[in-house]
Amino acid sequence: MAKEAGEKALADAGIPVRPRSSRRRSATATATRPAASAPSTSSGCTGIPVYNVNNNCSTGSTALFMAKQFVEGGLADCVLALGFEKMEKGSLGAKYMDRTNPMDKQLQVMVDLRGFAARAADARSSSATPAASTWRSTARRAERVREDRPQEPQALGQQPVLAVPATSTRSTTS
Amino acid sequence: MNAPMVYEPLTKLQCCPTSDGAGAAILASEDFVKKHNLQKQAVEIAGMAMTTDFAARSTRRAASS
Repeated sequence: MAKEAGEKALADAGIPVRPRSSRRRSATATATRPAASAPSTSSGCTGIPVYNVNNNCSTGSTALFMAKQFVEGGLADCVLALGFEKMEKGSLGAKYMDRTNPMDKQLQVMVDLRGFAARAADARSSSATPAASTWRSTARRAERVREDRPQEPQALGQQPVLAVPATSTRSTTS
Repeated sequence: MNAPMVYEPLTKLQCCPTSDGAGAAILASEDFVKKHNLQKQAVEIAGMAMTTDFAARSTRRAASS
């Protein structure tokens, strides 16, 4: 899928791929895992810098933005920005339970304002899917922190970072 | 607004469907474009901006603020 997109973009642009070209070229690919080198290699773009970008739902636009900056700043003459995603079935769930959720501050606001995670957990409590378990765990931790912390809005910024699991860390361009 | 409610307040049309896909774009400097005679298919990026939330996101008390 990613290989096809890269090859078609190169063909459409009419740019011949020359491995180890002396020209300054970069490939910016998007993936959660270091997967960018696979499509870049299979497309013939070898011997060049390759970057894996992960910015959740803005990953694709981040890759495009980085490519623009490389060209704009004179660091590269030609850059391939490539994004791909194969989503899992069902709702987004947490993948990593051993690190801070990058969305923890937003999640806290959602819990405070709408009881979001708690209600999501209730709604899924009859399900035995990993996503449901994750939501329940997220909600429990978020609720615990909410009960423990001061209520002044200004104090939020000084609170320790919530140790809730990531809600979405999969490869994404959506 | 009349789409089925998936999870209040989000309706079906406000939710991202499960989807697979790939896309690619090639960005080149003006010199590169001219050197390879790519002017006909080249499109200029007139402007592009990227920013993140401000600190106020974690202290706001209303979903709409």
